[in-house]
Amino acid sequence: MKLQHLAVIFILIILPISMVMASYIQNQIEAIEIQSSYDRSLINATYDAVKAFQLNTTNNMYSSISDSKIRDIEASVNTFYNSLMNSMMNYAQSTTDLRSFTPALLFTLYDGYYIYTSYHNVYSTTGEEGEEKVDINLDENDYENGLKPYVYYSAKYRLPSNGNTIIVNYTLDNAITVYGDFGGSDGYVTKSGYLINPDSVSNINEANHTLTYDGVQIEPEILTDNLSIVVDQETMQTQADDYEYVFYGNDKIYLDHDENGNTLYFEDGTPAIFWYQNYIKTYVNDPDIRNDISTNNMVNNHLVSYSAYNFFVEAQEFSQWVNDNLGDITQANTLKFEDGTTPIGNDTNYLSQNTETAHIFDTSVEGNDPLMSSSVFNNHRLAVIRKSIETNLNTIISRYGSSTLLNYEMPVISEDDWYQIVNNVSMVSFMQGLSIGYRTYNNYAVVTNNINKEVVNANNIYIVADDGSDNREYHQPGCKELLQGVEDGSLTITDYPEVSSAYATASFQRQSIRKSENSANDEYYYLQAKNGKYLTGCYNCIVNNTPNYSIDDIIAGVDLIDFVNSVEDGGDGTISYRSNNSAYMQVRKAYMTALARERYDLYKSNFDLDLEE
Amino acid sequence: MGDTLITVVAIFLAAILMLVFPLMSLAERTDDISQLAVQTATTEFVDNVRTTGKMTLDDYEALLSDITATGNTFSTEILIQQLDENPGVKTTQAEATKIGENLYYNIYTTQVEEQLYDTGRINLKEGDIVTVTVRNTNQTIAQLLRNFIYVITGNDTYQIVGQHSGVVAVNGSTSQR
Repeated sequence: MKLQHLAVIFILIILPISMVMASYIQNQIEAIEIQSSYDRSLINATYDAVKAFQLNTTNNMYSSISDSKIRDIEASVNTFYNSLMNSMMNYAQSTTDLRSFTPALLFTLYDGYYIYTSYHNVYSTTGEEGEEKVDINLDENDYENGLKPYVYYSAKYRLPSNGNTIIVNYTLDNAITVYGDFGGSDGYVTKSGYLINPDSVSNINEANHTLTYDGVQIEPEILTDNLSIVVDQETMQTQADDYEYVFYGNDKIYLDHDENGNTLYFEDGTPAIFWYQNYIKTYVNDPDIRNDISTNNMVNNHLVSYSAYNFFVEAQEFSQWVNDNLGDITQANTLKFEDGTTPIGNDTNYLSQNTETAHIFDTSVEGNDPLMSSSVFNNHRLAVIRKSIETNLNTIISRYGSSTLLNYEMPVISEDDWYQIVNNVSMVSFMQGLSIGYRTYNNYAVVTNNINKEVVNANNIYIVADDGSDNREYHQPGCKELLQGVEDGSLTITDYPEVSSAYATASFQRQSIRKSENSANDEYYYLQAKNGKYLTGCYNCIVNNTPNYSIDDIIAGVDLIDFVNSVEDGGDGTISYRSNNSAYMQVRKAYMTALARERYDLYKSNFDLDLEE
Repeated sequence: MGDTLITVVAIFLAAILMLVFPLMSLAERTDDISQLAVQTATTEFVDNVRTTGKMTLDDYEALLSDITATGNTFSTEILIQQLDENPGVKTTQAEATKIGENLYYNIYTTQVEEQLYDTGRINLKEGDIVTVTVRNTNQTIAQLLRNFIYVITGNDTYQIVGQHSGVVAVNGSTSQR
């Protein structure tokens, strides 16, 4: 055979192989490109939806009431589909199309979660007589999308003492609701409250409303908001001023004053108090409320809040009861979610966190302070919430009904993402079934909601510090600048009888006043802006988002070690602030008081169910 | 004489067709695959930062090892733009008295690396922007062969590039480390 023939044969063999290879690889590249564009669209749409929820809730005074919440979530779902549609124009025809690819949207809230998915629209009921049965069976394939009923983060336990079954509802923080038949003289009990270490509360002084929590003196507080009030409805002219407030029945009540800051009084001698509604002062007419505030909350012409004190007093009482009645429960007594009757027993893999034989509700022992993120209670709480979401999502996604014949499967969610989901108000969206090359797409996106009125996380408290020349900055509690400033006296933080320095992060968000149809004329204001001057966020901890000290250490009241020096990060473990350092103690006091107060003042829908006699 | 010349030309052509051409084609495929790997790694890294609110040394090293596994050397550029929402910041670009005119502070690769190696992580907050660009710095075989046939001028020519950017969606938390 001649050389030329060999060459031709070689080329004949190589060329097709090379062409097929090229086309295959090109296909793969396109598939990955489409996949990452789907990923991006999904994250962006989820982020937009969370943002819509934030905007609707932070500007809504009634955002925590459940009807209003459902409306906000539905608006957020719409935003999700609009945003997804916009970025997926090339791949989908309509939002209805997209619905068949998004089997579930999960919204985790303070004490439970909503899942937006399809349901079979069948109306079936029995009439009064039991005979006139109305059964409207719509088309088998007629599915509608909507919110499934709210699911609480709950778990059933079998009491080791008498075998009765009780239920515990968890939340994103240390609040729980316990109900069930305890047997004996107790009978059926429903109790709600915050779980703390009951032994750490001491020196309760009812007259002065003071107590000591783990070495921190908890006192009454004076709280202020800077309100922008419309003084002229015609021109929508506004005037901003600081007003003292307390929470009364889930709403803030403000105390009015004249231009010189002197407290105003109604004709009947009670202080002039008002609600801030539609940007104007709505004075309180109810004499009961007036008298209640006047006798209980007025001290030296100031409106005083006892929320922090009440938090600890009620939490101690509740925690003592929980310790006495549920103290011997371990994870083995948890009943399985699938049937609700079989205890977990020795199955240590059932829950994602294995707490072994530790007593979950015995909070007075070492290593189980529910305020700490590493406590047994907290680990168990996270595992239970996760199990509940996992079980429900799995069922819902695999049964998702739509016009397509896709086989829906729940993707595996990473540990990191689970941690985000069960610790925050968050939204998780699932998208699957879209074709990418030779495979189908199946992924999810998790976006947490940091700004909301649902929950006050340990990280959600900022402390305002004054530098003495009317400049105020807000800090995270673990900020180096704050502690240093307080120690050398260049920064001051105040407490009773001065105005309190620490507030929830939601108070530092920009609020808007809609002045006309055109949103370009909106006016903005901040709730925390002392004497008309805006506060600025500290450049070390707020803009940089890099606190130096662990919030868990501050709650525990142990020595503070800068993250840079921590042994885990290769440092030498140099202690920056001893637990008895006065600056540290001052910051810790401001922080603990604010955390207790903000949690106490949160709107909780099922917290007033105390049905005991 | 004429025959010899034709044979020489034929051998030369055959060499190009049988050796250089398939080699080039294979090298191009290799680069395509490297490109794919680099782009995927970059996108994953950035999206991870966006949804967790933190950039960790572990993630960064995973990115570096992923891209160098393609057998090339790379220059990685990271740009973090930190949002400053504080009203009243005095600047030439923004209105100092108006709320909502925001500023961004830029943090560049060397500063990012310094902080990562120092503390192991960088915390970001909602609204910050992360941009990562990865470019190869060596000449890949495909580039070499191509330059052998036709030369692309300029020293900034790169074959493999991965770029992704986005707005951070959550505040990174420090309570768990």
